This record gives sequence, structure tokens and C-alpha cells, in this order.
Amino acid sequence: MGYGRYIVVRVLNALLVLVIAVFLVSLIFSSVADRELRAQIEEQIAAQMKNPELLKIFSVNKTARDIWYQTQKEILYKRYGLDRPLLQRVMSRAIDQLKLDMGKSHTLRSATGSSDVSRIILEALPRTILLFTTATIIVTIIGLILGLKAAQRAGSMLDKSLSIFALITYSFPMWWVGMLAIILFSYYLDLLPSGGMTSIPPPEGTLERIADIIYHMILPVSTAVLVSFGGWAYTARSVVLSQFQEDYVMAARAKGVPERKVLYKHVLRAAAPPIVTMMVFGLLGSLGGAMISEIVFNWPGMGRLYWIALQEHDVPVLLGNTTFSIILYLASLVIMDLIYGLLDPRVKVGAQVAV
Amino acid sequence: MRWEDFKASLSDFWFEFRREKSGIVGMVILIFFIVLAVFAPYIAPADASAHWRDVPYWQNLPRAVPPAWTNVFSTKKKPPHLILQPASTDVRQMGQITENTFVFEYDFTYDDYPTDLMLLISANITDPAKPPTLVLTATRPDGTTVDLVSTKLAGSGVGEQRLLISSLKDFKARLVGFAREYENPEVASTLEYQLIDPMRILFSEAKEGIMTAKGAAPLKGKYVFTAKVYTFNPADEISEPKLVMAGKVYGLLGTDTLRRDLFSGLVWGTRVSLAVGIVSSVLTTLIGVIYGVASAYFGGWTDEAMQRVAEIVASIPVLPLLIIIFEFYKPTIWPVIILMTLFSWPGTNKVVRSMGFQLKEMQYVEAARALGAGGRWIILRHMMPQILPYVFASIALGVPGYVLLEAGLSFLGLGDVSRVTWGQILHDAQGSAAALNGMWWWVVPPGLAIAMLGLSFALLGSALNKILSPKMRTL
Repeated sequence: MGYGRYIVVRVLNALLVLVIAVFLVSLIFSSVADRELRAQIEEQIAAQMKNPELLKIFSVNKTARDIWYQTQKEILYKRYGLDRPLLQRVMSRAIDQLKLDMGKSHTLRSATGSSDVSRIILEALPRTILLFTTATIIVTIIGLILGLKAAQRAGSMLDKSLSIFALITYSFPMWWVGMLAIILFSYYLDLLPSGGMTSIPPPEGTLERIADIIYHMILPVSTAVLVSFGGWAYTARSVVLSQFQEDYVMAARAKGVPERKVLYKHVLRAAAPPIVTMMVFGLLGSLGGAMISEIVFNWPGMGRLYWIALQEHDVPVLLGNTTFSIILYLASLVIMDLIYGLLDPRVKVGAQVAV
Repeated sequence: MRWEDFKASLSDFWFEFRREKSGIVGMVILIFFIVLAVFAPYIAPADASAHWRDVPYWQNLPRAVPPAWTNVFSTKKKPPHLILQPASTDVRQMGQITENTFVFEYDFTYDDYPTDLMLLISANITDPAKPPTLVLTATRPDGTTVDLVSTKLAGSGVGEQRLLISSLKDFKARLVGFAREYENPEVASTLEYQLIDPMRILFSEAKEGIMTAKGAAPLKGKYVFTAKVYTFNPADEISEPKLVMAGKVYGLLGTDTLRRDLFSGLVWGTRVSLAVGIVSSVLTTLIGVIYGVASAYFGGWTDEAMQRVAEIVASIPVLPLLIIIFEFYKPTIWPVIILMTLFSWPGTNKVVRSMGFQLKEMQYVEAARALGAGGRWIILRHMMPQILPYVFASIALGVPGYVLLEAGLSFLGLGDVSRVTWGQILHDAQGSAAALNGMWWWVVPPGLAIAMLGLSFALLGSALNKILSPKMRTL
């Protein structure tokens, strides 16, 4: 019961944040989008006026031209909803975004040639998730193992060099490390592909295709791992180390529990929830970095979509991509919350926990 | 706190800080960046930042070349960037026509060829219909003389003109003609005209192979360039001629594809990163501290409501939202800072709030309240001094995040476009595929600067943490 209620509260919280964030985005965007829409309408009317039949009439009758222009403008304003007050338009835009009804892109197309914004983004989304989750899983494993080892031998060479490494990589832009990796491994050593998700053309056969994608993932994933694992390990180390100073550890040791068991059965059990909490922010921070890194590696995910949409000033795609990024971000947050709930026994029994 | 106490605690602090090696290292790096930022106008050209996007401003530099010091590590010496002043000047009047002769001498002792040949000249022309004519010839060390170009200068206006001689069709045609006399006719006929480099011909030994990259051998020695400028009106003035040998290496950090000096960009970019990082972090921490202390002090429902709001702000994804705001409103640097702080204060708030709750239960706070102290007094006099040490560490540790965020947004091509930032340099590098083409001098320095600036604050912050919060010392 406790866990169920916890989950419901977390999901509702995420949904509330989603609505607020999307509303904010719609508000920011509306003023600018309206200006653009007005310009488009002008263009559309101007194009219609080139009709020779109309031109013939207008050359005789100037007032007819003005009236025709005015009515056309009103019709189009009504069709695009420009006749309604700003707040109403912001609301309806936010609702459209939340329904994933994101309209048509200006210039960008999906791989199948569709100009449907949500289709373009849904094509990119799984690729971002693939890259990001792969990197996250590897970082978690390496980080935990190294963190535990360092905590066991606090003050050792391993511990010290891990702290220094974490400090140094803490301030490295992931995407810049990606550029360095390309210079080293693609340009000078010519070992790995510099970018893209598949070879061009992609190889025949499912297995070959999977191998090809993995081959292309090596560089972006190792970049993300290299930059992130130090911080994760350091976090795990600090939490575990502070647990080592608790009385229950001394008690366990005193009654003769083997050191391995103390670490894995007692300390890790207690350290897991705070580790997860601290890692949530690291993870969400690296999501942004990972998305920017996609640009460097020409990985056709949401980050690169941002880059292209920004360069082409394709506003509907930009907006849709933002909504999807917010969803992705909040979904990761909820997943971390779920893991936290599983690890923290207080959640399961429904005790008072800061939800 | 009295002044004596403050002085005493400061000297205590310094005594402890001196023993933190990492903190000292961080401080040294930080001072280096501060010096760069403060003295930017003296270290780099004073107007370089304002002209970063002004393409003509940089036209006298070579295009996309590595730093000059790379020559030290290479057995093949590349020509540096040289601006030659005339070795001798002569003016002859022939009726209405004036002949200005400028002789330039170039000692070519390198194993590679200059990238471009440019003539800079100031001309004051009275009649635009009668533009001056330039005839440029070169005498090579082997005694051969090549007519390089004969062309009209722009006829109107006053001021410096810039003629990119090496890109003129006439220049290439004449040098190819010169090379054909020596090159194996079979080879010459199969070569693709596009791929022939006229600068290579000009500075190569006159023998077979002169037209190909493989066959050409640099002809070292003194080259004499004679520029004759004819004006057709006695009132016309020609002055300050300079011949630019655009090198294959340049300056401390080389140039990018728009011929911009990357060292200038790096130096000027320090200002933006430092300002954004420090100001954002200070602001965020202040907001977070005030919010957190207030939340803890009031407690109860107010605290509940304030923490709800903070939690919502904390889970708003910053990057996507900032991308949208930046794209539509194109803010300059100060709004950038405010926008970045608006979404990031909840972290500090959370820590400060829990500290505040502990402090609130302290007996001296209770005593103050019993004596009739008001809320503001208790917060300022009794709670803040305890929280302050944490604040300093938190500010320092917050800076790298903002430096990274600003760099990331600049890298996406957003942010303040009126000045140069490290992120923008990397944005341009990405746009020109610098990494794919191995142009490390364009990619490495800005990113390293971001990383080092972040590192300096991370080191300072962790040292402060160790000194100011004794609990950390045992860890």
C-alpha cells in the first residue's frame, strides 16, 4: 500500500510539473510565434492575389481589392486562432502540446518524408534513449564498483586518484570531450567512425545492422562514461564512507560478520537510497550534456534535432522537441523515484517519508 | 561580529587554507583567469571582441592555420605570417601619370609555402572613373622574373584597400604559364587546373614537378617583389603599401576558417565565462539561502508550501526551457545570468533549510526569542553567521555548473551574440567540422579553458568545504 501511494504521488507531481513547464514554454513562445504566423498569413494572401482572374478585377476596382484582402485576413486569422485573446491561445497551444498534437514542421522532414512534428521527434526519441540509457547503465556499474572499492580503502592511492579524477571531470563539457575523441580516434588514429548511427549505406541483415549501430555507439558512449563515472564513483564513495562510521557497522563487525557481508548486506542496503537521491541530479544534468554531445557525434537523436531546428529556425520542431525533452526528463525523474521507493524500506511500509 | 573577530577568523582561515594544496592550486588557476579577463584589452587587440563577427576585420590573417609554436615540434618549417614593409619607394611623374614603385624583400627559408599573398594599400582617388593600376612582378632567387598580376585597384573612396592577389585568376594563369615551361608536358596536360596551387609554383624550384604537390621543391632565398602603382591624376595619393605573406602558422593559438585570431577570442571569452559563472552562482546561492532560511524559520504550513514550490522549480528541466527562451528573446549577457539563476536556486534552499531547522532548535535561538527578539533579528544575527561558511563553499562549487551551462547554450548558437564566448568559438568549430578535419588548435583551447575555470572553482570549493565544515574533515 505504501509503495502504491508513493508512486501515485510522484507521478502526479511529475504531471503537475509537466503542465507548468509546458504552459511556460507556450507562453514564452506565443508572442514570437504569433508574429511569425502573421507574416506567413500576409505571404499566403499575397500569393493568392497573384491569381490572374483576381488581378483582372482588382485592376479595375481598387476598393474590391481592399475588401477582399481584409476578408481573407479575417478568415485566416480565425482559422489560425489569432482572433482570440493571448491567454486563451497560450492555453490551447499548451493543451495541443500535451496531446502531442504539434502541427507541421517548416522545413524538417522525418526519414519517411513526413512533416508531422511529433513523428519527426518520435523518430529521434528512441535513439536518444538508446544512447543515454546505455551510457547510464555502464556509468552506474563502473561508478558503484569503483566507489565501493575506494570507500573500503579510504585514503589509498585508488581513493585519492578517484577523488582527483572526479574533481577534474566534474567541470569537463561532455560534448567538448566528444570533439577531442573524434580528433584522436577518428582523425589521427582512424579507428572509429566520427559520427552517425549507421554506416552509409547500412549493412544487410539484422545482426550486421545491430553490430554496426554498436560500432557507431562506441565513441559517444565512452565519452559519456569517461566524463561521468568519476563523479558517480565519488558520490557512492562519500555515502558509503559516512555509513561506515555508523554504530550498526561497528556492531556487525563486533559480532564477527565478515567484512564482505558487512559491506554488501548492511552498508550498501542503507547507503542505496541516498546514493540514488544524489545521483538523480547527476543523471539529469548529464541528460543535457548527452543531448548536446549528439550534435558532435552527429547522432540523429533529439539533441541533434535541436541543432538542426535552431539552424533552420524551424519553430514547431523546436517547440515539440522541448515538450518531449521535458517529458523525457520528468520520466527519468519518476523512474529514479521508483527505484528509490524500492530501495528505501520506509516507503514500502508507508512510514512518514519526505515524498 | 566585531572587526577584530573578523580579522582573527580571517587569519585563522588563511592559516588553514594554506595547507590545502588543492585549494592553492585552484586559487592560482583562478588568479590566472582573472588576470586574463582584467587585462584582456592589453593582452589581445582591444576591439577584437566587438569585431568577432565582423568578417572583413580579420581578413589580413591567414585562414585556418595552426599556432606558430607548432614549428618547434616539426621538422618541416612552415612560413609564419609576415607583413612586409617596402624596402624602397620611388615616385616618377610621367605627364598626367604617376608611377609609384614599391620594392618588397622576402626571405623565404621554409619547407612549406605561404597560403596567400595580399597587398594592403591606402589610396586617395579623386576620379572614380580613372582607378589606379597595379603591376606586380617577382624576382626569384634563381634570377627568373615572373609577372604576377596587372590589375585595377578599386577606383573610389579613401582609406586602406585590400587586394587578395593570390585568388586573382590572372595571378594563377600567369604562374601556371610560367610553370609550363619547366613541367613535363604530359604531366601538365593531365593536371586538373583547380588543384594547382599558384603560391606553390611561385616559391618552388623551376624544374620538372613544379606543378604538382609531390614534385615541387621549395626554392629558398630572397624574393624581391616590385609593385608599380600607376595613378592617372596628379592629385591622387598612394601610401602605406604593405605586402602580406599569409603564413601556414599564426600567433599563439592559430586562426579559424574565418581568419579570426583564436588567441584573441580565448582571452576575451574569459570575461564572459567568469562573469556568468560567478554572478550566477552568487545570485543563486543568495536566493537559495534566503528562501531556505525563511522556510525553516517560519516552519509549518508556510514551510510546506515554500518547499512544494521549490520542488516544482527544481524538477523543471532547465536546458530545454532556456533553449526556447534564448531562441525567441536573444538575450544579452545580464538577462542570460538572471534566466539561469531563476531555475537553479532550489538545491541551495534544500540544504540551508535543513541547517536552519537544526539551528532553530538551538538554545541560544530560543534564548533570543525569549528575550523578545524578532524574526529578522534572529535570522540575521543568530542563524546567518552559522550558515555563511556553507554559503561560500556553495558559491564556489556552483560556478562550474554555470560555466558549463553558458558554454552549452553558446555551443548551440544561443546566448549573447555581441561578444565572443568560449562556447561560441566551439560552436563555430562544430559548424566548420573542425574536429573532423583535425583542427585541434580550434577545439582544444576553448574547451580546456572551460574545464580549467570549472576545475579552479571546484578545487576552491572542496578546500573551503574541508576547512569550514569540520565534519567533512574526517571523511
